[in-house]
Amino acid sequence: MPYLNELVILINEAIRTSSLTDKRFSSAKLEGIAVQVLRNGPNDAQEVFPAIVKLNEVERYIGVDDTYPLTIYHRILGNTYSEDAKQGQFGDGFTAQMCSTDALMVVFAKRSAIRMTAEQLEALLVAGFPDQFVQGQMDGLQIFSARATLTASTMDVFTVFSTEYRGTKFFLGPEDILFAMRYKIESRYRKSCFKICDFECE
Amino acid sequence: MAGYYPSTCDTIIPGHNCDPCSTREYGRIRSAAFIKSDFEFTDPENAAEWLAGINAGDIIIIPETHGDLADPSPVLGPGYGDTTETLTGYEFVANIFDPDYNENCDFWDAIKNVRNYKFAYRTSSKTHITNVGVTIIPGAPVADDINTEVVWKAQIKWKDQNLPCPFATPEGVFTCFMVNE
Repeated sequence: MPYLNELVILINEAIRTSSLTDKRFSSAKLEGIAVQVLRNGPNDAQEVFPAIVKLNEVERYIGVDDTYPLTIYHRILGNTYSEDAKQGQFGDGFTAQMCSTDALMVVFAKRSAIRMTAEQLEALLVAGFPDQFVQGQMDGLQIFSARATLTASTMDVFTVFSTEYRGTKFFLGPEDILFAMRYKIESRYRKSCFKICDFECE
Repeated sequence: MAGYYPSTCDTIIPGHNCDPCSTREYGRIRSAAFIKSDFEFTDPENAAEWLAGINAGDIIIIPETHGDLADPSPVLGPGYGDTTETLTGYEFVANIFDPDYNENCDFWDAIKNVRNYKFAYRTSSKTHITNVGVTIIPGAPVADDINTEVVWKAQIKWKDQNLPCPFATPEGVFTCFMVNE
């Protein structure tokens, strides 16, 4: 499903302008869509870590990082496709579709830097999470409409760590906050409106 | 002088065709067109005639719609002899939806005032043209739901003795045209 990175950037912008205006978050790092990358650790153990990948190279690691008071990145878990409602179908066939994208927003923070508990930070992010993208925000994107909905959050640091850093020895301390917020993006679009160069032709 | 009813005034009934293997026709008014009443087709299956009409501004194409044509209401008059009623015609009502809301207010606002356009509609493989001019009643209802789209809805009404009969859709006609005005 195209334009997911653009929509994730809009989510980040909404969170930054709504919830992260305090100076504690001035150097917060809000990243786009990460993928899980495998590397060979000590004794040839395979370790997984999140990274931004550009074409076929790892551009940068974006997980746990003490440099920033708050780090957020997203991962796409899967897409479900269906036909748009009858009133959205015009002409022949069922060219208008809906895509429901299952995604994860992973949050890492240093308690001492943000001076909040994990629950308070989660509540702050929930408050700033956008629910509907307005048309003006999506200019240039060939989709009719999109909206994002939070569905659940995993607050157990061990569960989140074992998913995001599979194979890696646990290295977080009690001052570290790590949780994941699951959400879905529902977008409506017409297949024939996608052009190949919408997907960053080079 | 005694009157008589000549047998030559009977309607000739064509044979009924049946073919269990024939292709079926499927629903949804997928495209629509408005055709000036004084524009005559020699052969409505001929795409060149349609294109000439489009370029002359006599035919307006709405390439993608959804909509329906309701079961026509019969207009019945008094019967004679042993018949209780006589079918004198039908009242037809079609509804079409035009997705291009932003750019077409002027179009719909103007066409609602005309009475000299016939209506053509396309189903899965066939096109139909009304025999008479139609009444066009457009509107753009807004639902109380941020997840719905605002589209043009037009109710097309006409009365006719005869049914609009299908013909094969001419190739390349129901597409988006840029007509030089």
